[in-house]
Amino acid sequence: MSSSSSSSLPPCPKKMITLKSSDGETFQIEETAALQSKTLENMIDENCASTPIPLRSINGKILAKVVEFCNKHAEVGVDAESLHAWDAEFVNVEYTTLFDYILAANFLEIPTLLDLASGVVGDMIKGKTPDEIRKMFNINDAFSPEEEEEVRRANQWAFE
Amino acid sequence: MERLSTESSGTSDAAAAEVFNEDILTEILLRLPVKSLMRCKGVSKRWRLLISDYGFAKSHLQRLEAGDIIASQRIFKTSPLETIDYEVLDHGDGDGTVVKLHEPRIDNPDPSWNAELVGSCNGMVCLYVSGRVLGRFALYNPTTKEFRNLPYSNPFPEGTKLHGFGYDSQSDDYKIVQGNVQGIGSGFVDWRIEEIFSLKSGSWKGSQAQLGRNLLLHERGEGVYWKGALHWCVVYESREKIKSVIMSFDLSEEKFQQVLSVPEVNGDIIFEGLGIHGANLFLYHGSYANYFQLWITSEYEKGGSWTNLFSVSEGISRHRFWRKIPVAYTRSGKIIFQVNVNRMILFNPEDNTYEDYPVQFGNNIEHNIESAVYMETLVSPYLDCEQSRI
Repeated sequence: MSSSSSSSLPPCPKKMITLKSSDGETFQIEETAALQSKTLENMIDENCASTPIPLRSINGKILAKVVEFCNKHAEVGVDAESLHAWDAEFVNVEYTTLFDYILAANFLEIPTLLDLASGVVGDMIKGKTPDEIRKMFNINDAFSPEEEEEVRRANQWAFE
Repeated sequence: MERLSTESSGTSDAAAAEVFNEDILTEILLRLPVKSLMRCKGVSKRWRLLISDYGFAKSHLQRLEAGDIIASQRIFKTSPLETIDYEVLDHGDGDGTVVKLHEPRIDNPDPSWNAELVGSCNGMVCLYVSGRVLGRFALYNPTTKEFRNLPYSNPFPEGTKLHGFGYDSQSDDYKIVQGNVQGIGSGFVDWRIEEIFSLKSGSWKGSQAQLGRNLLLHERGEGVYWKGALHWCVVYESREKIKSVIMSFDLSEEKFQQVLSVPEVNGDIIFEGLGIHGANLFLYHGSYANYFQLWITSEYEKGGSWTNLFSVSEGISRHRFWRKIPVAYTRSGKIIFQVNVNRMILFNPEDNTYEDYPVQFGNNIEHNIESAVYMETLVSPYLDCEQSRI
């Protein structure tokens, strides 16, 4: 999957573009698959996609998955049911990885991936207590004990 | 070098939430049901501010309306104020959590105040709190427990009132209307809206919108909110005959119009009324011939049409309840009826059986129970007003 110069290729039916991760790995992706990303689409439109596109906020491990996702979703003739099953498997990962997917999808503006990963994170939050959520998101700007008590009292029923 | 770039990219066990900007966090939180969001308010100040924002409440409501999130519906009732999780109750887990008593901080010098239900819209209910001296309107979100006493309107004569509460999408405002009736002999009267309250401006203004002459209201004067307008089922007397029609009061235009005729029935109607069933408006009526019918419509543009949801001449009609006001429909097809001023039942149209609902009655039996369905939302009676919040 990794690297080779694309600039010297003769015109061919499958136009490829190259993405470069924060840790220097390069990935080739068909333009049609890349168009799912609004960010890449804009770069392609502005002819900025002829050289490897540096993505400084996405590491190689995550970028590989994002490319995999875009390829799968650009495949022709995949029925909705099997794509759904594929998606479910794709997001069956640690929540830290989901956070990375969300950040990557947000940066690259891939609504389908953002939607998918946000939905799973949302489901994870649903059954959790504020304490568990703070741990999951590593939040430190919590309330003082007094403030917390106040919020708890005001929202009594949600804690029952 | 390599390490540095990895660090800036990965969240892993770094402070992930801090990496998520407002937009992403909003995107995630908008998928949660209200109950989870209420709990999430306790996560941090940042989360609480985001969830308490009016814009967030509005976006969340849109997701609920679009069906992206499963909406949770409950019954709100007065005398005393209680909420009923009717789906849970239908499934037999009657463990006391299905009916909840609410005690909002009602600011009324009269300890024997009584709250009448004016209407329900987008998760808020509008109450008319009457005391010995003056009555006033109040808004309450039973889900978030936010309660707001509204400014006094002009003193209002006792007796039949025309009331309603709803949302005006054009000006993104919630409005309360109150109207009056003037008798012009033989039971037929002249109805008009006298005053309209705008929640955004926080004040009342006068109105001269006339519902029409020669009309009679079968039911209470509370309009039913549906699709940007309040609706009343009225009896209209023309030269040839007497017929029932649906009148609507558009909350943006602040005008009345006649929107639909009511299906013909055999025999004299003894009661009829309107309600909301999912995204539809429903009409129910009963006649002396012990006949009870329920119709729904999804649209009234270009004449519209009614679909008969169910009709019974036996079953619930056999049980001699005076009025049978359908309040809510459970997913399994049962109907919650309010059968008189202090009794609610769960009726099963399949085998014509019913059971009593474990609702409470106030000490003062003069106060009627009124009920309406509401959806759990975050919409606040204070809209965007932050200082009102904890």
